Amino acid sequence: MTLLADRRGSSTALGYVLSLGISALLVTGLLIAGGGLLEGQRDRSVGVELRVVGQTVADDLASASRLADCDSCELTMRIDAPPRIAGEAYLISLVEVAAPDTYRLSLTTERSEVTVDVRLRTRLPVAETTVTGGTLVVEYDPAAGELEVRGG
Amino acid sequence: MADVMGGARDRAQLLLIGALALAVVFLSLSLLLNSVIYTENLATRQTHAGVDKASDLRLVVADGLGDAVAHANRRSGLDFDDRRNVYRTVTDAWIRTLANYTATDGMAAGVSRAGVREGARIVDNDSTTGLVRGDGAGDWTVATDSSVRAFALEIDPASVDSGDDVRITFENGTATTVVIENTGSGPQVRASSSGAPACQLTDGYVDITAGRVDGEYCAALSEVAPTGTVDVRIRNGGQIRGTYSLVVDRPEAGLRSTVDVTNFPGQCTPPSPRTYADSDADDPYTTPAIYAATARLDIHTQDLDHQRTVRTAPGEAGGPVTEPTFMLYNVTQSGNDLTVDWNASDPNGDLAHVDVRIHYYSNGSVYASDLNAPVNDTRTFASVPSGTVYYVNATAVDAGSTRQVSEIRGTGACPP
Repeated sequence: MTLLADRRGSSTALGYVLSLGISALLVTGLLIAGGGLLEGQRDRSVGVELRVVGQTVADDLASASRLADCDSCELTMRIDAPPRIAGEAYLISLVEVAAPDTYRLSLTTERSEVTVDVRLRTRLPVAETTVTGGTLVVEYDPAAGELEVRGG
Repeated sequence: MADVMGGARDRAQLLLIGALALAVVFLSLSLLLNSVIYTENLATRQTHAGVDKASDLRLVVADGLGDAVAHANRRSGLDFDDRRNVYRTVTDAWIRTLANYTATDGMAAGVSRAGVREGARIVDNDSTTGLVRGDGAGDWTVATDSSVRAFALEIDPASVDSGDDVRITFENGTATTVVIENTGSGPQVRASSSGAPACQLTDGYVDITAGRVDGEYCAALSEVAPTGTVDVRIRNGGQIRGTYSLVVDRPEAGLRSTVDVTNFPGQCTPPSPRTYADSDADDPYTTPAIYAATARLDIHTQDLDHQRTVRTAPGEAGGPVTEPTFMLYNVTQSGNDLTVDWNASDPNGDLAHVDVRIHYYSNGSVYASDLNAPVNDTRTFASVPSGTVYYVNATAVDAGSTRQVSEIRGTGACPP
């Protein structure tokens, strides 16, 4: 029997290498896929949550403008928005996009940089502003005849 | 594995670490989905309940004040101070009840009265006569340059026959007319300027400012409900029998003499009989009334602080009145001296001045005047020439509008 024809002792080493390689591949594949899934889900859920929060804030702002729309009105209103979305802080900015009194509410998370826009129409002008997400305070300024939004 | 990881007891560490990492991934995923579920749940909740409560409360307060005003105006024979006291008594009790009620709803609400505006109620309670003035004439002016609210008639439908139409006209530059007629198909109410179909009159109830006939919505009427200040005129009022009532935003002081000047241009003030009787002993008559009431509403909830003024004028078709008016207008004549006593007020507080003018009755030219006078003052025009008849007019001027009161006086030649 020549050395070349001698297969004894090789099956154990090969078996090791094969099972180690396949397990590593499998585990790596699963981790990569799981990580990707997590990433994708997080962006999607951040988008969904920002939209919900944006629509709630927009609705409350419109309600506040209806309530404050009179000569003698005074109004201070607290809007309870969640301080973090999927574990991230976020910014709310309000920009007028069309006169009169049509605004775009943009909510942006700081880390994942997901942005959601919500359009809203109010009965009164609202001062353009950017505030950190969380509890907001809406106040009517009778002198300026506009609503002001600030962090609470 | 023993070779890779070293030691027989440390086998399968790669799998273990992999499994742990995957577990962390799935745990994060579940947390993420949980927060999405929470937010979706948030989305289904009612947004800002405080705003709804505040809006509801405003309507409740306007309603309650309106009822109090209607109650205070109801009886005849009271002067304005009496009516205001009734209004205060009624609202005192109601405000306390409202405060208790809102407290159980998680809201601290306060209502404080912020004044009432004096007007006059014009009433004809005699159902055996038509819509006629004091001397029985059916073509006449009910009110001049006035805001009108709660104008309701109760007509005997049997009296609406195929004779001349009864026309109630509101004029403010353009005229709109409510026509009560019978064209052969039964009594009906229509608006002359509206294309909307006429409304059949069965029970005889016509509420002009609410736009209702027999308690039901009438499109034709709702289009002609008087808004702003108007002259109210009636033509052929004697054709039907019925009663009516309306509230105008001018106090009796200036209203009665000014309406008399319009209705009886040939007679000195006061003519006999006057357009309106002094008391409910005769019809039609005027009585002091509350035209509108305002109150300050103060709402506090957990998330909301809100204050506003609530104004109510039940049955008013237009917006709030901004025109000035005379709370007092009195011309006293002593021989050839005419003393004019006036006091004007303005609901929106921008009253500038009062112009007093004495015109010749014959040609309308001005004999004497006191222009830019204070809003509350007295002025004597001494020794006006004898044997002449004069209009004594006063005009309250504010930033955007004017309102005039008028009397006719003569020195020796009255009626002219």
